[in-house]
Amino acid sequence: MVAVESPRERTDAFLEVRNVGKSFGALQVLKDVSMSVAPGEFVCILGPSGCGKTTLLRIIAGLETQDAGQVVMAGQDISAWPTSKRGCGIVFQSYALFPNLTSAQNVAYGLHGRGKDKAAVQSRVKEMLALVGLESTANKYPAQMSGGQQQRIALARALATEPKLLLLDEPLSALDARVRLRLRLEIRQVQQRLGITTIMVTHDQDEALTMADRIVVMSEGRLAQYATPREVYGRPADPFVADFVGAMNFLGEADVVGEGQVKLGAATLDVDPERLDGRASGSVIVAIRPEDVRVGQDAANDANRLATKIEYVEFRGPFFRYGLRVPPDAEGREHFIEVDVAAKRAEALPHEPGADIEISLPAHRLHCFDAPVG
Amino acid sequence: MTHSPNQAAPKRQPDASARIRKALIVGFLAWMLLVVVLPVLKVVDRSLNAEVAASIWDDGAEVRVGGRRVHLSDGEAFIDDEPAKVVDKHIDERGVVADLADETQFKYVAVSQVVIERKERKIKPIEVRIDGADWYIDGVFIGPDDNPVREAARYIGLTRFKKYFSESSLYSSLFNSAFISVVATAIAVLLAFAYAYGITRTCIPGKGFFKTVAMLPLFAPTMLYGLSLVYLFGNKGLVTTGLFGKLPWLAWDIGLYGAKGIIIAESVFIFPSMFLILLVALGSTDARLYEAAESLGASKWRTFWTVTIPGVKFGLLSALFAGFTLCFTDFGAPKVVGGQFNILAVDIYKQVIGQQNFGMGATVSIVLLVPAIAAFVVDRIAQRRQSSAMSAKSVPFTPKPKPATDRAFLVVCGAIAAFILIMLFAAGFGSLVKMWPYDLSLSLKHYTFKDTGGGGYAAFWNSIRMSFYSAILGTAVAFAGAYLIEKSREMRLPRQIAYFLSILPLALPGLVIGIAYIFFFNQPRFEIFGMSIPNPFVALYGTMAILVIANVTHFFTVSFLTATTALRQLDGEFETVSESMGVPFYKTFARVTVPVSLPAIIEIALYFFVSSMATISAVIFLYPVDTPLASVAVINMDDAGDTAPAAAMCMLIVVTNLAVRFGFQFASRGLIARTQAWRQR
Repeated sequence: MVAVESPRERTDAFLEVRNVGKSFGALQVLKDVSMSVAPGEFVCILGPSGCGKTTLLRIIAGLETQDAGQVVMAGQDISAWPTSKRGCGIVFQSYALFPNLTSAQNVAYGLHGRGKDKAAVQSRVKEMLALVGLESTANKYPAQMSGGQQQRIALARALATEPKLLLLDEPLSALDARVRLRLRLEIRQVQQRLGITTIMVTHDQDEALTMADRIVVMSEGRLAQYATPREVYGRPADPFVADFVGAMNFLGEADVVGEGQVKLGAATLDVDPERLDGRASGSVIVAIRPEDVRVGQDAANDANRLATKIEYVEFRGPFFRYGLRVPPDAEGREHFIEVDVAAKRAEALPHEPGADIEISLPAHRLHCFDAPVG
Repeated sequence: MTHSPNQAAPKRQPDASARIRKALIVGFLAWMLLVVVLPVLKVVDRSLNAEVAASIWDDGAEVRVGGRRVHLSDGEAFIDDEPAKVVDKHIDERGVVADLADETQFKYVAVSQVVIERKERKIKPIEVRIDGADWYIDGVFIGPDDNPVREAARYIGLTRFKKYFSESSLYSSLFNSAFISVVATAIAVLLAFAYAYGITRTCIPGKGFFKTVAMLPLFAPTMLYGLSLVYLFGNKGLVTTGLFGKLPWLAWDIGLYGAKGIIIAESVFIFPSMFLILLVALGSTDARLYEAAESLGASKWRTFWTVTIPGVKFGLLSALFAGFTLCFTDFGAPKVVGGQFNILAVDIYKQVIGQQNFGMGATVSIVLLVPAIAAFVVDRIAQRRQSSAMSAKSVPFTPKPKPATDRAFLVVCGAIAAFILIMLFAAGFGSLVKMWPYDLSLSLKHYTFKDTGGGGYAAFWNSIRMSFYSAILGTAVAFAGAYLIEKSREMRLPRQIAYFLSILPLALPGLVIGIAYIFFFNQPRFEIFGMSIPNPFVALYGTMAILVIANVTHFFTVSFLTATTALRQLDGEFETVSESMGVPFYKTFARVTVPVSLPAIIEIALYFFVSSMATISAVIFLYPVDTPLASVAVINMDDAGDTAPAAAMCMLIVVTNLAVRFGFQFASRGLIARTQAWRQR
């Protein structure tokens, strides 16, 4: 088991969310959520739609008020502060660019009335447009720009007032796949250059994995895991995280039969003792990622070998995905496993449905989760 | 880690923006209460309470209280038209106590018994004291007054409603109103459907022209159709006399005055509203359904009944109810061509203006209001369904040329358009004729409004001023109200209530608004929780201001919904973005919301102006004697038999409205082009 990293371990936190709860009527959208963000850190809040991630962001921004708990910024409890006082830069999914103002006017929007003279405002606007690489569109209206350009103007506008915290609400989801990939990198670079503490909400795991320093995975209003991208992927805290981030084969419930051994149906599997968390009895759910399964010749001398039959093969470009059926064992349990094999390696393997193929489940790649109670 | 999930929610520190917004929402709510809810409740109140009407004339006096009548005539005293015994200038019988000053005047009358729901009931005595020319009711000084009709807060239950439904001279109007409304709606829906079908589903030429013509009746007061009908089918009408005897075979007296005249005029009046609804409904049917029906081999007839009609059924329903309500509550056309055929709307006018019987006026208003509200509810439900029928994936229908069908629809649409134009301009022609039907030479003499009442050009200019103010105030209130309701996050429940109150005026006939304002703004004091406080709004009564407020309320809902639709097209996060940057909401309102919504704002202002110019129903009860209005002048001149000047005044209204509508559209082109440059890609 991987422990959820306690947010209190970081004492130098810039932003802390403490035991925040929120309900809309009878619907509890946030349940006792706590997290802390270090200065300059880029945190992604990841989860399926309806998991409460946007509500959490809006509470941090002060656009919603929590029913319970606090939001603490730079050591100050800001729970009761209005949005305007919190000094967050926000970029919305829709960008919310003012359609009747040029991109320069949009970027300058928050700068007026801050005691800055005209020249200072203008130079700040120029600086911001340069930061996002759009000096040339200063006099264009939003409708005359591409989606990616609009997105960058929205970012420049949010950053222009020098916010202490940047909040991004699904900033890339309205863009084409190609533009999205490029902007992912650009936003991350801008964030690094300015060193601004950033929280981004997304439902796209690739975005979270590539951009974040740490990821908050949320499920049904609770925080499921808060860890670095590599940890979230490599050591998911529970079956939900395992399933939501990346692909995962769940092999079902297995009994722990000894130090580093579980019994899955009739088969006994070696597992990494560390993953059993010192357990010597009880039951766990065993799972493995498609790319971690070894196939054919590679598996020949491994432990945890299984004989399977091919049900289908899908070509996915850089790799093939095999759908494999493990025939019923002595206890009548059968499994279905998806396996990813690099295209080059797959050339040596059979492709026809019905063909026999041997696989192995490397012990140190097997995940063991708490079996559901009852 | 300490767990404290049950901590109380933090109390938010409001920022200045939120505080201002809250104050504005409360202000808007208070406005809607003041101009809609309280006045309408006052109508209900007046219909259920007794009132006192007292009059003195040279040789007698009369006091009417809660259905009782006490009067002196020729030195004799009567109670409810039965002689009463006078002993020592004192009367005390049948629940009436009175003291006489002399043989012709009362000094004091107290009524302590009225008939409530057919039973005699005791009430707290209503006292009228007369001291020379001064009147006191329940001890409150009324002053010397030509017409001291005052409310006396004594509950008399449904007495008046019972009376209404037991006297055929009264309740027959309800059936008459229902009858003409059903027939006119049925005629108009067939015509409007064919007309809209022709424009959306066939390839007839001149669609722009046909659309424009269909909208023209919106610019005219409803009296105009009545007047046009008089010129065509009246006693000396063009058709009735067979082109003044020149074409005797054409002579045809349709018996205009009465139900027939009202039905024809109302059919024209309600046509544009129904046409607009059907145009949208027919225009938003998914073309893919027709392709599917065709590929499945369905006949035209079957496709019509299985695709076309189900696709527009809610629009059809909505059009029917809108038409029915408009017709049921209209006053102008029946006033001109109704003759002896009584309808509800005219009854209210007669009760209030003719007989000064405000209590019965309130009662008839409620009778008028009930079907209007029922239609309003059905219409709201139908419109909600219709708007959800079209999905983003729907493909708009593009008609293919079919020569026979197209020709048939061209004939039908052409005939309808021609009839509308005739109804609009027959009176116009009549107004230019020197002396119909004897001297047919053309002249502008009826446009001088000499030798006729009504107020002439002063009335016309008053109407323009009133419409201008109504456009300014109405646009400001409707747009700001819609903005506060749509774009605020605070005060959810009050905003929902405010939305409901903004929709409500659609159900209020203009006459009801008029009578409600008489009651509400003219009462000297409010009695709340046993306290009596002077009415601070009484100063508005009898001024231009109350006319403007009445118009703003009367035409509020359509404008409010236009503003709401425009605002909903704006990104919902504009306000949040501004807030996060510390920019107050009113700056964003002025710099983004208003400029982006400018086309809708201009549309709303024009709608208020044009509607206020043409309206008669609300203002006829409220216009101050020294501020005559054009539409009221039309009624008064027509009443006096001055048909030609009445028609001339109608034409002035129509021409002004057309000039303002199209002139402004033309003039604002530059402004729109400048402020909407960002729409160009």
